[in-house]
Amino acid sequence: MSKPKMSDEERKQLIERLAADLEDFVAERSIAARNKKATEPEDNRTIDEIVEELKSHPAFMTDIDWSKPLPPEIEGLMQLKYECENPTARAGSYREDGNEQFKLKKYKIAIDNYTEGIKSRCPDAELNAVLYANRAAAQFHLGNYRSSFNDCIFARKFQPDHFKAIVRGAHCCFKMGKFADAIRWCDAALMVDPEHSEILELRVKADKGQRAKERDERKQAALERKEQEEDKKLLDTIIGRGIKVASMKVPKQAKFDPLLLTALESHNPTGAKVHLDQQGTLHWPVIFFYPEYTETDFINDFNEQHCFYDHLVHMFSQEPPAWDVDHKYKADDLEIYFENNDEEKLYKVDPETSLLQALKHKKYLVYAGTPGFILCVKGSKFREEFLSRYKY
Amino acid sequence: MTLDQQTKQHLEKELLPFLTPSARADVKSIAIRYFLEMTGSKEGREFIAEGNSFLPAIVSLTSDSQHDAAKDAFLTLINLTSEDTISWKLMHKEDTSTFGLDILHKILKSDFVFADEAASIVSNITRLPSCAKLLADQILTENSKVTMEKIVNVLCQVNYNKNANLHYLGLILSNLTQVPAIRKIIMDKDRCIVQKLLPFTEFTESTTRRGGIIGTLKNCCFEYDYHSWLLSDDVDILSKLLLPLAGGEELDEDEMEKLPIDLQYLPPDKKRESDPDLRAMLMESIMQLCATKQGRLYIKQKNAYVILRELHKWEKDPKAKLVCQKLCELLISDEPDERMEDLHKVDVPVHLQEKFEKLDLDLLKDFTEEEEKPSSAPSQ
Repeated sequence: MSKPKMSDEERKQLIERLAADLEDFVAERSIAARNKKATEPEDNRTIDEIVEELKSHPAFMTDIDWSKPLPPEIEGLMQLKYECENPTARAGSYREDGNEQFKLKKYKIAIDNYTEGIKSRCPDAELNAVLYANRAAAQFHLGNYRSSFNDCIFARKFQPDHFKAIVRGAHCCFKMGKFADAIRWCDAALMVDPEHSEILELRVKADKGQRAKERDERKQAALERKEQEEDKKLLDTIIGRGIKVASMKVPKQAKFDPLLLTALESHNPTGAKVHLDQQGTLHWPVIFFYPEYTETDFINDFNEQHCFYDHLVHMFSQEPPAWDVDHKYKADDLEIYFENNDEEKLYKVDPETSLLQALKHKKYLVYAGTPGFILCVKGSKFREEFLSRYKY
Repeated sequence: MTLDQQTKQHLEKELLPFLTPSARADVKSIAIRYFLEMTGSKEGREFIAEGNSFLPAIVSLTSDSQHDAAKDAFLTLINLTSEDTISWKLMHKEDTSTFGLDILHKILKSDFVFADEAASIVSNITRLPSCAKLLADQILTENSKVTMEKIVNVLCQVNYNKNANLHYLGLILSNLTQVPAIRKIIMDKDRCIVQKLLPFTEFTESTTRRGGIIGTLKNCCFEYDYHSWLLSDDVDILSKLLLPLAGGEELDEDEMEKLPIDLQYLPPDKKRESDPDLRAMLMESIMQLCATKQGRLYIKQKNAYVILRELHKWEKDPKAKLVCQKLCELLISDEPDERMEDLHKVDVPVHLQEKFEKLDLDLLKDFTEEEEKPSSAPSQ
């Protein structure tokens, strides 16, 4: 099929379309930016601010409001009328210098040159477009994709169908991992040149990237759903056992309250957390307090079916702990208590009972996801004192 | 309303002179409104289409500067073109033969006020394959003011025209792609045209637009020479045909990993295509792509079967279920003998064709009965 030449009217329509697209794009982005401010620190001016500033640029002004003080650029322009330096000539010469430096791959200097050219605020829209597009190219070569992308937007503001700026913008989006935006800029480029092979290729890559990103997001969401289900199962099991977790008293009838889970977040040293095994048995991290010596023992994994005595035998049958200076702590000589904080009362636990039975006690409350028990030596002096403190 | 010869002559004499943009505004409005009301009955529509005077007159009013008159003219023509014979006449009579192209051109302008009315007319006209072919030929002439690429671009911009939703443009595209030369244009491998349509298989805002685009894709799948390109990474049509057929059922990790990435880890609340006809069209498209050995092996390798297996359990609509069953069978069956690999080239003897059709009908009957008594005991 022959490729018909673009008529003036079609070109005009295309430019209008591209300009409208860009407006939409900028508007959407500035809304998005306002919604999540300050997450991206690189350029601290918002798009809105820059656009506002651009509106008073001489290239965009259609008439002058004489009742207000003149924007400095206009004043400058009027002064320049009487001076020899013409801003367009100035901008043009900076562009030349910039291009020279660009060819030498001195991108930073080229950027400075283009910036000076832009600062001339010349009324020639096309020249401004070139300055921005060229600065975008230099920024791109330095890997400053975000700055480069902003310049592409401005190049298009001055000249909506500036092809190089559109192509550059598409590449920037791709480099920044903004694949959906990249596709949009590719489509804009394809409106100007529908058979541009580099852009067609980039579009395929961006599309793939976008879909992979969406898949990863779905995968993440699926993972979170699974975790939530497991958490819910765990909670249901705990509640089903009739175990009370501190700050969990209210929602006996409630369905699922994520707040409850934080009540199970353990603050113990190893970060061990209550979990459910394949057989449906709970395993708790448990802490033993020895108030006599202000010492503690931590049991990572206490099977709820196991009884206290087994643990005690295991812990106190061999070498006594360093703090047990009198060697009093023996499995058969220990008494176990727990405290109900609300009442400030102690309750005794028979060492032969399982952890589950102890936890099911109607006064037992699990704090910080880690059940705690107090151990004293039977008949010791300290025990008497300690119990009397609780009026036991 | 009965129209005797006398009334007809009377109408022609009294009202026809006012069906022209230059007529006095008040009488013109009354005249076109009268005709609009007449198109409510078949007899009225046929009367208007008789002879050669009314149709061109009403067509001329569609570009009237007076908003109401132009609108009534468009509405009149929507009703008239619901008759295939009238559409045919409109496209074939010399003085109205470019009307379809003219209003299609206007539909593509973003500020056209009657874009939706015009789109209904063009979609009515192109429903007939012969008329679609005529319009296609006009579009395909060199330097035509309407290009296929433009139609696709406009269709893919959701808020293109603030006066109109342009959903019927989807049906127009679907009708036009009945013509092979048009399909080849939108499948230009050096451009990005058909690719832009793909995301719209999940476009929930309009069944019309979505259906038009799914129909277009199905038509494209009739071009066997393009299958390998359609299935390649450049287009990846399979993902977008399968996605609307997928539900939120949980799949094994192994089964999932083999699927195209668009179908992996779908959320449990993932909705299937709600329209059974569109589900059938999506499956028929995949079926077409299975016609070549290369395509079929690729679709098998991409684990499309898993999606269709889940759909088969869920599907209630008898016709869609039949298509689903056939596609599933095709995907799990062994590869055919060497000389029969390209299914579309295999000559099926007439007696076998008849047998297959009978089998299909029997199955369809079973599915229909199942659907009608869903709570009854399962058959033995």
